[in-house]
Formats: sequence, structure tokens, C-alpha cells
Amino acid sequence: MKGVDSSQTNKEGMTNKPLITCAGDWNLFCTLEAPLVAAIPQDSCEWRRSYGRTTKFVYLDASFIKYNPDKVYPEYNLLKRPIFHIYWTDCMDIEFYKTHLREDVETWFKQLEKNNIMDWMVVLVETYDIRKTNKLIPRTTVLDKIKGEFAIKHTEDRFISVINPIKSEARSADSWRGLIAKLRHFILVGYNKVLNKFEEYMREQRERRNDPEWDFCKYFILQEQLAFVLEMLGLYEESLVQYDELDALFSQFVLNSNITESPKWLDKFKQPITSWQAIRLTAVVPQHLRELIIKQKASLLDFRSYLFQRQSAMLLLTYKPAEIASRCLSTVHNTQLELSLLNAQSIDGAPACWAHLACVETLHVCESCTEMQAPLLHNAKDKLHELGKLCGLLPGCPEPSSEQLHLVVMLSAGMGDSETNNKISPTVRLKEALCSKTTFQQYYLELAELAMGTYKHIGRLRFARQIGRDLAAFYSELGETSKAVVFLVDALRSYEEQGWMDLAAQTRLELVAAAKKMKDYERCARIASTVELEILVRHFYFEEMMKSIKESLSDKQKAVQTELNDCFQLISVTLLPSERGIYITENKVQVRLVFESLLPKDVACTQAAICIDVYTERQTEKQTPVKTSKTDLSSVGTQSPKKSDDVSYNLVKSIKLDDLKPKDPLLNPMHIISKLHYKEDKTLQKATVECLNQKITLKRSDSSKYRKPSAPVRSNYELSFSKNNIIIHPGLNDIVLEYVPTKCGTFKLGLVSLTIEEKLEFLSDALLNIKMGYEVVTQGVSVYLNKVEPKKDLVAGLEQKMELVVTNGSSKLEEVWLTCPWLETVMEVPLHFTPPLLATWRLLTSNTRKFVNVTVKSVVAHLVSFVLSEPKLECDGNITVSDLNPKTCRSLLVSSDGTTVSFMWELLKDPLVKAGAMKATFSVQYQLSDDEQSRSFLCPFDIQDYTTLFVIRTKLEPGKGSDFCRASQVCCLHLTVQRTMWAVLGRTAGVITMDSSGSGTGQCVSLDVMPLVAGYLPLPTVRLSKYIAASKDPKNDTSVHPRLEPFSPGQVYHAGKAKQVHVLAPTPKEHLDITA
Amino acid sequence: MAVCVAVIGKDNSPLYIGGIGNDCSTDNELSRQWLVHTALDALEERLATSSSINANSGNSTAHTDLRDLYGYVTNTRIKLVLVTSSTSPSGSNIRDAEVRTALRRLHALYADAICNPFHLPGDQITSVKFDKQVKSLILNNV
Repeated sequence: MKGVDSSQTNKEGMTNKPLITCAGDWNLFCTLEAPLVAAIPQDSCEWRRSYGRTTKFVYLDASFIKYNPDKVYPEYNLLKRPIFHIYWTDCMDIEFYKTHLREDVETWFKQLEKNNIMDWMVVLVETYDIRKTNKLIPRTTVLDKIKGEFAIKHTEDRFISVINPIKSEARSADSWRGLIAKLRHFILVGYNKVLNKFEEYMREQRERRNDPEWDFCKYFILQEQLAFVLEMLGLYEESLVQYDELDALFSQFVLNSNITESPKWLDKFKQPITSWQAIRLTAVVPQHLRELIIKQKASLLDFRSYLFQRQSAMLLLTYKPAEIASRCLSTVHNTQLELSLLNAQSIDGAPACWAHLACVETLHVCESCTEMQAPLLHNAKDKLHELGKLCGLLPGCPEPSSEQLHLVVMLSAGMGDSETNNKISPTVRLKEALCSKTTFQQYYLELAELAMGTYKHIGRLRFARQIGRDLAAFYSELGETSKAVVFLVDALRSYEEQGWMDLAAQTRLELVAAAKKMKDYERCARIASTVELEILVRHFYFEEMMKSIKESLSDKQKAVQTELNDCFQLISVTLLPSERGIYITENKVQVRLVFESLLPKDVACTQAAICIDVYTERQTEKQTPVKTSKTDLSSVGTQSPKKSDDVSYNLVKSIKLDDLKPKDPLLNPMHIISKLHYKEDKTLQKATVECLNQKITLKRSDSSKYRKPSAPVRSNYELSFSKNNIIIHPGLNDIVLEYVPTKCGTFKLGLVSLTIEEKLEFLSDALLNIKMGYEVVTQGVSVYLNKVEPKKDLVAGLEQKMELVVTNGSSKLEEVWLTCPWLETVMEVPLHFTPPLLATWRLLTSNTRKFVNVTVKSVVAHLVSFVLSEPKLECDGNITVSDLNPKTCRSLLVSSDGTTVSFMWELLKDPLVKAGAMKATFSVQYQLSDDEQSRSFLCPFDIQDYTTLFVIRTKLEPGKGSDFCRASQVCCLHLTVQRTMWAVLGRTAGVITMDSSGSGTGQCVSLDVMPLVAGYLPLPTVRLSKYIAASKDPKNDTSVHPRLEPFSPGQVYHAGKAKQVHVLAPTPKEHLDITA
Repeated sequence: MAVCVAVIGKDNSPLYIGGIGNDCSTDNELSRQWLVHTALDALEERLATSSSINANSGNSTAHTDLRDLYGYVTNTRIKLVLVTSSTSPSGSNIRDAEVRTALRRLHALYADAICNPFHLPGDQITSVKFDKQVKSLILNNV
């Protein structure tokens, strides 16, 4: 019989069931036990709890034992203590009750009361008798009787009568259901009471935790009971809470032990660790570990294993495998930390074994959740690696020593035997892996690859890369360099993409270390050029690079190509302007290349070259699709096809490579404007600040920058700017490359190449996208005649230097002859000479005396000074000249700044003889102020009509009756041929006839003039002209009217020209003329 | 005790990584970088799932044998990472509130540092003052 099987009750955990004692008619109960046990868990019951805890619906199970009045149950053992008591009877006879049963019931009640038990029930099982139904219902039943005698307040409902379901199933259903429901209810009520009491006690115990005598293990077992009960009631989450509380409590103790004095009980956990069995994630309570805890013999690993298994059991029951995985990791980490904090002794590798097994076991549980598997695999892999290192199983290690072999045996022993005979159990696999290098490597690689794959699958790429690096190191040691390189390159790329330069540098170092056998000069070069690394490291790799270039490339015919930007940075490229303004064939074109060398030392560059491509529109269009940059495509799209003549204008002459980099969008000013918004009635609604161009700020950055540019393909270097054998220094280098073009056309610059040590060629395609180029034309031979000093005028009469420039243009000239140009073909070169001096002359008259005034000046554009000497005036005929120039002044200076020199001669002639025209020549010697040689300057001129024909004399007389000339009074002007501040009254012009006979006496003309103002007034101007009478013959003359013709300036002499007359103010008037 | 503080840009490139103590040799500097770098995976995962940007995420799960990592993300997706040593007595006992305070303070320092008008957002932080302040934060406050 189940109820009396006491061995069942010793089992705990999942086998725990609420204990119910049965008193009274045991045989009766035995017939009912099976349906009872079956019926109780069939439905849930509402569990109302005190302290405001949430109400739960729980499924109950029960196990029944015979009531033993002598047995004393420990008060605070929730599991072994019966929770409920039932008294069974089927007595229907009141008399029988009175005589026999009453006593028994009373004893039972007394015993319960003595034990302070309030959770009981009395069940009267009735047998349904059809015969009785017709009878009157008895006045009192046995149940009423019992109730009447034993019921206290609020306990009336604990007396239940039920119809025996065994004997009459159909009729009993209702009463049976009532019994079960009541039973469930009362069990829970009982638990509530017990648990409240228990929790109070538990709290009390916990509060004593700082008591030196307090023991964690005891407390653990105590609180675990609560967890068991909660688990038993199906409240797995609450059960887990109990374990978590214990976990936290323990952790805190361990952590605090580091700071404060550790409690005595903690010393038990410091005992050496002898067992590191794999945890088993099942719902079964690991009894052996629990025993150890109860006996206080558990090591830290035992305790942690137990706790984790229990926690996992609760999580398994609530279907949370992912939670198990994450708890596994933190448990593994915490445990290792605690091991070190408590300084618990163990053989090397034992914790790693345990951690590895824990991770792999957990993996099996949470196969459904990939995201949690990856870290587990990662950890398992790391721990396996640790073990491999300890046991000498890593590739590259020498064969395991005897100590290491002994360690393997020890570790295997500590793991214990796998309970299941499953071949793939983690313990078995680990043991196998530790047996030999091959199996270890197989297992390690399996785990690592799986971890990496899983990380990739869940998108944790950085972790995947990290495992990749571990794998690379492993493969590298295995000698499978190519596999290692793949992982490292992957990792390197991702580090570079995300700007983790230090990590990239480190990976690069590993890459070289891995690929050392491959003689990887390229990577050496890159490392040597990595600014982030220390200079010593860079020096080392520079030497490595040089070594590998010499060793591995010496036998190669052609240079090996690699990317230039890794080691050098182009700063600028400039086409130097040609001397002639254009580039012509057979004449060198120069390009200045400025670049920065990142290599740490000087390096010999065999050849620096820039490839030259023929430039055509089509060609650029072809090339651009190769370059994937979007900006380039757009620029090609907007460019309209132009004539080839215009092409060269599109070409860039100089470029700074910095310009090519995309501008940092953060540096662009945002177009923010302020705006006023008006309502319909023109009143201000709001003022806003707006950023109009959202596209600029929201533009997605081009992801193509992450793409690693492939090493450019070397193109034809037949046409190239080049310079050989230079030394490239670290830092900035400035070199000029040359090229002598032989063909006309438009060319553009292409690949840039630097060949190091003859064998390693660095190539850059940075210039391919830029239309940088030049136009070459062929030019013929040309001859130029140039002034030496272009700003100075050519001055006639002076010896001046000129240059004859012969340009050979694009053709080669072997010899040059200069032949006289006037012999065969004449080439006219217009030359403009400026006279050195300019002379002007004037004829001056005084009565009949004649003077010649010559003024000399220089009109040369640039400043030049002449010293003049020996001025001379020569006249033809019999006219002699009297020199009036001062003789003392020797040197007269004439400069082109406007200074003039004047000379004066008098013509000595008979005044009465009317002389004809005469030729005169002015000559003067001049010499440059710094020149010895003097030259003569001649200026011939004609002097005509120089004889004085008329002398005009003027005389002014006051008007009649007055003594003085007064203003506003009429005066009389007497002209003797002779003839206005003067108002000429009456006649203003007249004709006089001069008789040739009547010489000596002049003609007199009188005019009335009136001075208008007072003062010394010059006499009125008199002009004498020839009167030519109207011609009678209309054919003969153009004019029929008489006309006037002026005399030559020397023919009329105004004797009174400078005369003045004193005019007095008008006489004051006596009276005012009213009518005026 | 915090051992390392990192500022990671929104493109996940390192803007500043500062550590203190006698383990400033290249080796440890690097190991911190590996650690912070992989921690980004965990941080990003949290960011992808949590809606609140300014969330203070707790320990990242990996590599916590010796170190605990705490992450903090600003509104501009700048990630601040605080690494504490789980082996040192003060580090293992650190409280979440302390970490939160330290991270907030770090955020303030970062904001001050990038207020420099000559600092280009996205560039590495080279400010000596910032470095000094961060190191004192690591030493004193946590």
C-alpha cells in the first residue's frame, strides 16, 4: 500500500507531496485512497495567501499516511511534517457512535489540540441505500452528533459527509466533488499557516547570519524547503526566487570575505576541490550533492553545481532555456571569481574543466536559442584552449611531459564517470579530447568554428572576428598558414573599416607573423608604414621587408606591384609651366610630385614615374565606370562633349590630393534662414528658423569608402614622366619628373609608380579620376628681333643694342648662319625710331629788327639727357646772323622730362629792303650725358615774309573838353596806320589805302572809344589785315565779296602794343537823373 | 575600481580609450581595446532591442572572467563604455548606481570636450584636459 510506504516519504524534491494523516477507520480509507489520490490533482484550486501576495491557482497532489499519535514531527521541517489530518468513519449508527466511536474521536481531537494542530477534517462516509430513501430522514445523524460535540467556532464546515463512491458511483458524484474541493481548500489553508510560520522562522534565522555560530549550509537547507514546497505546489518561479536569494546571499558573503573577516562556515568552502563533475540539467534533485551540503562537506564547486542545477531545474520547468544559458555564463564567471577570492585549492585546470563542461551541458539544453549558444560555445572553446595549454595539447607544443600526462589523468578522474553511457556526453568528449593532440585539435576546431558560425549567424561579427583571430593563431601553429591568413585578413578588414587602427596594426603584425613563411613583403611594408606602431617595430619590419625583397624577389624578372597608398601618400602633383607658355614636342615637360613617405627610413627608389595616357573624351568615359565612386559618374554626366581644341582647357594643371577627399559634411555651413510668417490679415503669425536643405544634413555617407581598392593594374609605361635613382626620405619628398614628348596631342597623367629596390613597385591610381594633363604642339623655327630694353624707345642717332632670337622650336638645329637679309628674301621688321631732339622756332619782331628764337626739347619716352653745345644758326643769302646766346654757359642740358633750351639770334638785314623767303638751318651738337661722342642735330627751316610792312601806332586822347580819360566818357583813339575794354563808337573798321609812293608818312584813322571802367587800361587791340577788293571777274575768284587776309606775323609791328592809358573814374553826378 | 573608459563614435570607431594603473604597457592597452571592441556587439544588440536610447545597459556578457563592462549611449549614439575589474575587491562590489553616476559624469566630460570649437565631431578626442579628467574619474569616483 502506498500510504504506508515510508520510504517514499524520504525522497524529496519532485517526489514531495503534501502529507495527510488518516485516523479512524483505516480500512475504509484504504478503499477510498486510490480515487482520492487520483482526484486531488485533477483540478486547480485558488490559493489565497496572506501579506497581500498574489493569489495563485495551484494543482495539488497528496500522499496519505496512517495517523501515528506517538510520532513527533519536527516543527520546521516542511516536508516531513503532515500538513493535514483526516478522521474517517462510516458509522451510521448513533448508538454505536455513543458507545465506541466518540471516545476515539475525542482522543484524536485532544491529540491534535495538544500539538496545536488546527488543520483537520472529519469525514463520514455514507453508503447510499435505496431502501432507506423512503424512510424519514433521521432526526440527527452521526455527523451532526460529532459536529455538535467537537465543533468550535468556524469549524463547522470541517465536518463532511460523503456518499461512498465505491458502492454507488452515480449518486456520490456531487458529494465526492465537494469533499475533494474542501480537501484542496483546507490543505492550502494549512499550508498558508505553516508557511507563514516557517517564513517567520526563516527570516529570524537569516537575521542571525552575522552570528559567528551561524551556518550557511544549515540555512540553505532550511530555505530550500520553502523552495521545495513552492515547487511542489507548481510555483516554480517563486521556488526559483528562493534559490536566487540563497545565491545572492552566498555571493555577498564571498565578496565581503575579501574585505572583512570571513565567517567560520565559509572556511568549509575553502577546502581543496576534488571533484569537478559535469552539471546535469534535469529536474531531478542531485541528491549526492545535497547530502554533501547537509553534511557540510561540499566544496565550492559542489555547492555551485548544486545551486545551478536547481535553478536550471526551475527554469526548465518554466520553459526558459535561454535564461539557463545566460545564468550559466554568469555562474561560470562568478564561480571562478569566487574560487580565486576564497583561494580554494584545486589542481590546475579543474575550474576550467568544470566551466567547460557546464557550458557544453547547458548548450544541449538550450539548443533552440541560437543567440545564447554562441557565448557558451565561445566560453567552452576558451576553456578548452586553457586546458590544452596546460596539458601540452596545443599545436606547436612539444609532446606532453609526464607531468602533463599525469594532469590529464587527474582531470579525467575529477570529472567522474558519465552517468549515461551516451557516447557524445560532454564529459566523454572532453576526456577523449584530453587524450591526444589529434582529438584535442579536432574538438577545439569544432567548437571554435561552431562558435564563430553562430556569432556570425546572430550578427555579433566582432566576436566572430575575435574567434577568427584565435583560430588563425591556432592554424598558424598547425602550419596551415593559408587558413590563418584568411581569418586574419577578414579581421583586419573589419578593424580598418571601423577605424580601430591599433587593432588593425596588431592584426597586421599577427598576419605577418603568420605569413612569415610566405615572405610577405607587402605586409611588412604596410606595417613599417603604420604610424600607430612604435618606431622600433616599424624599423624591424622595414628591415624584414628589405630582406624579403632581396630574398624572394631577386630572381623575378618583373617588379612586383602593390598599392602605393599603403606606404606613401601623394600630396600634390603639379605640371610645371613651360618657358614658352606652351608645351612643344622635343622639349621636356616637367611634373613636380610631392608625396609623403611613411616608411621609417630612407629607401632607394629606382624609378619614380607617372604614366601618360592619350587623352580623349571617350577614354575618360570608358575609365570612369571602373572607378565606382558616385561623384565621378555625376561629373562625367554633366560634362558636355567639347571640341578637341577646348579639351586642354578642361585639363587640370595642378592638383592637391587633399582636394579630392570628400569634404567633411560637418564642415559645411547649414543653410539656416530666419523666416517671418504672416496671417491673412498681414499680422505676424510666427517667426521661424529654417534649415532649407535637409538633404545635405541627411545625406547618407557613401559606403564605398570601406571598399578596399584593388591594386591598380600597371599600364603601359612607355610614355611616362620619370626620374631614376632617387632616395626617398621619410616624410615629405619633392621630386621633379621629366618627359620629352615626341608627338603632338593632348595627354593626361595616369598611374603613379614608385619602384623600390628594383623589384617592388608601388602603384597609385589616384590621378586616374582627375583630368590632369597638358597639350603638346609642334612648333617651327622662329626668329625674333627684340629690343634689349623693351620699355625704352629706340632713339634715332644713337647706337642701341638689339637682340636677334632664333628659336628652334620642335626641330633640332645643328648650325645657324646669319645671312644678309637684303640679298635674297627681305623680311621687313617695322621699327619705330624716336628723334632724340625736337626744335621749334619763332620769329620775333621789334619794329624792324628781326629775331629768331629756337627752343629745343626731347620727346623720348624714357628719361634721357643730352648735353648740348655749339648752337648755330646759318642762313642762306646775304643775311648775317648775330648770336645773342650767352657764351659763358658751356653745357646746356636737355632731358626728356620736359626741360627745354632756348637760343636767340638776330637777323641782321636792311629793314627797308623787303627780303624774300630765306632758308635757315639750326644746328647743335648733342651728346648723351654719359657718352663721349657728340653728334650734330640739324633743323632746317624757312623764314618767309619777315619784313615789317606796317607799324601801327596808337594814341588815345580824352574827349573834347576834358583833360583826362574818364570812364564812360568818349575818348578819341588815333591810329596811325595805323588803327575793346574799349567801346568803339561809330566805326569799328575801315579801309585805308597805302600808297607806295607816300612812304614815310602813315595813314591816320581816328576812332571814338569809350573806356567802360577806370584804371590803367591797355589800348584796344588793333588788327591790320590786307583788304582784297571784290573781284570783278567771277571766274577768277571764288568770292565775289571783298575779304580780309592776315599779314604774316613779322610783317606788322604794333608799336603801342604794350601801352596803357590811365582812365579816371567818371565825374560824380550832381543830381540824380530821375527819368533814367 | 574602473580600469578603462572608452568613448566610441556613432560609427563604432574609437574616439577615446583611456586606462589607468600600472598596466599601461602596449599589451594591456591592446587587450582593453579588444575588450571594448567586442563589447560593442553586446551594446549594439541591446540598442537594437531597447527602445530608449539613453538606456544604461548593464554587463555585457562576454569576457567577464576578469572584467565587467558597462555601456551608456547618448542621444547622438555616442557609446560610453566603463570597464571595471571584477577581480579587485572594490570592482567586484560596485553598485549599479555608482556606475550610472560615473557614466553620467563621463557624459558631461565628453560634452565639455567636444564643445571645443576646434574639435571636429567624429575625430578622436585628443584633449589633454579630457584625458586628465577621465583618469581622475576612474581613480576617484568609482
